[in-house]
Formats: sequence, structure tokens, C-alpha cells
Amino acid sequence: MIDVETTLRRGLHALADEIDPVTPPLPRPARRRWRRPLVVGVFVGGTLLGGAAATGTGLLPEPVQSMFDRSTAWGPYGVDPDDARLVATASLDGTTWEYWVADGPTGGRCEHVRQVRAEVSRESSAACFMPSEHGQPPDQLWASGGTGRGPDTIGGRAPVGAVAVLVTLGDGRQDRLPIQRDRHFFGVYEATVTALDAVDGAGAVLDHQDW
Amino acid sequence: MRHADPVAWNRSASPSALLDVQDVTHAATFEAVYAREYVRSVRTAALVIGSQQVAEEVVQEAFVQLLRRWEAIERPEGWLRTAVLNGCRSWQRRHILERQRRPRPDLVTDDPDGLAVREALRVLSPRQRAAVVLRYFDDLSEADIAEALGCRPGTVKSLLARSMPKLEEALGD
Repeated sequence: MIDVETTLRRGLHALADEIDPVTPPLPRPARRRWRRPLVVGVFVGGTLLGGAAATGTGLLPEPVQSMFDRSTAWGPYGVDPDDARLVATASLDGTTWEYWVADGPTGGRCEHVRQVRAEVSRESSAACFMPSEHGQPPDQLWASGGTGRGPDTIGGRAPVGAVAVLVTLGDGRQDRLPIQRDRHFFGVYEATVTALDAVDGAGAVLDHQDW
Repeated sequence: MRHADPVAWNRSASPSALLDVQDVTHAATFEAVYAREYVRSVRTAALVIGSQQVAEEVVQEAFVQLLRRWEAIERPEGWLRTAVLNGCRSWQRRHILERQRRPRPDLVTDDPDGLAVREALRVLSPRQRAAVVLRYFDDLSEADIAEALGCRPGTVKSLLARSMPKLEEALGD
């Protein structure tokens, strides 16, 4: 008489031994976007940066290096994590938000947003874009934003000649973000961003984008 | 200057990969669970469904869902197991409803017991098959199987009790 339980165990383990999947890179959750109730908060535009990285030593902070090491491995973006650089900052309620990017030679990009407060950093979000998703003519705006738990972020690259990006919020207010390193801009808001306008020194709109 | 297709730019702002991380420690813990549980989860799902290819898709989707809810989940391993089994059940139901020919099973082995068990599992219902795999491959208790399947321990006992005579007959052939 067959020992069903023993045969089952042996058979299942034999089958399982032949199943040897290669663990892929971390999964890719689809972008989450949802509208939060509008909250009036304090927002401050970014400040001009110097050329050095945040640490002043030229080295990437370890959490930033770690995040780019992981995100650049998510797919064939052609981005070297060691090329990450800090391009813009913004402040909200005493917290500094940093916008880091790494661009690949074929047009791919990985981005990372982190919060820094009282010597403590908090890695907020990371995103990567294929060259087809990031290709940007120099006369046009390119932006990406984060929404979900916490404030919304908006960052990107302004067209050549822009001196600021006007951010229109869902409550009707407008904020003026200065252009920071390599034509980048970055803002953090408690309200929802609804439109972007890149303007030149005379106030003319170089490019508009509904958000 | 307006974009020729403004929507395209909004779409371009949707990355092909996005990770929403609250802090590095949290991300490291999820990574540890992912590294530890991925292969085991694929094996369980493959034994339940009968296909490694489908199992990998189901498990990856389960991890995506786990990542989204990470901070709200106290027992990620248990939650993951349930999510994987729910994914298996959804896939099985979808194939029944769509009347699609089931993919050729891709569980291969030269082991005689493995071959016999692979064929014998076909006589079980999807739920019976899941209970048997969790009991005799994952070595879970009836309570843990009940949690994973979303039923009472008594139901698990019944599933296993009804499966054994069927398996005995199929394995005895």
C-alpha cells in the first residue's frame, strides 16, 4: 500500500528542486497618483546651489549611493549610479528636500528625492526613465513629480533661456521656482500642482505644461 | 511654445520604474524579505498552478502589492503568502472563465515520485491542490494554511481529508 504522505513530500520536493528562478531586480510598482485634500502650507522655492555635492567632499552620501545603485539596476536605463549629482533643493517646514539625478549618455535618467533635517536623512522616492521617456528638446520643459504620502514634489529641467518656472497650484496660488544647477528646478508643496510655466527674464512664457 | 502633444510630456513624467521609499531602513527590510522569500514563493506558486512561468508573474505582482502596503503590514511573510495564493486562484479562475487551454505544464523532473505527484495533483480542485502543497511542501500547520487560504482550520482539515483518497487512487495507478 502506497504511503501517500511520504510520496507527496518526496514528489513535491523533487518538483520544487527543478524550479530555480533567478531573482529579478526589485519589483516595479506602478506610479501612484491620487488627489489629496488641499492643505494650505508653507512653501519655499529652491535656493541656488554651488557646484559641489551636498557633503562638500565630492562623494555621494551613502544612502544616495545605495538608492542609485538599486534604481539603476531596475532596467536597461543606461545610467551609471556614480554619475548621480545634486541639482536642486527646496525647503518645507524646516526640512530640506534634495533632488538628485543621474543621466545616462543615451538619454536615460534616474532620480531620487530625499529629505534632510537635523543631520538625519530620509529617502523619499526614486524613479527611472527610459531614453524614450526622458528625451527633451532644449526648448521644452521636462518634469516629473511625486505624490502620495506627504507633500507633492515637482522637479525637472527648464528650457534654455528660462530664469524661473512658475508653478500653479490647485488652490489657485502660484509659486516662482528659480532655475538651479544644469537648468533644473524643484519644489515641494502641500497643495497639488496643476500647471508649470517656464519664463524668461522678460516674463515671457517659453513653455507651458498642464500637470 | 506648446508641445505638439502635451499629454506625451505628462506621460513622459511617468517613470517606467518607481520606488516610493519612506526611509532607507524600511527599504532594506523589504529587500531582505524579497531576497529571502522570492524563490520559495515561486516554488509554492508553481506547484499550485503547475507552471513556473505563471508562478513568477504571480509572485512578482504579489511583491509589488506588498511594497505598496509595506508600512501597514505587520507580518510580511504571512501577507505575502496569502497574496501569492490569491494570485494563483485568480489566475486559475480566469483560465476557467476564459475557457483557454491551460498552458502546458512546465514543471519538469526525472524523479519518479516527482512525475507521479505532478500527474496526481491534476485530480484535485485548485483549493485542494493549494492545501496539499502548503501542507506537504511548505509544512504549514492547519492554522497557517487556513490563514493563507482565508478559511477556517476546519475547512483545511476537510480539504486535506478529501484530497488524500483521490491522491491515493491517482498515485496507485
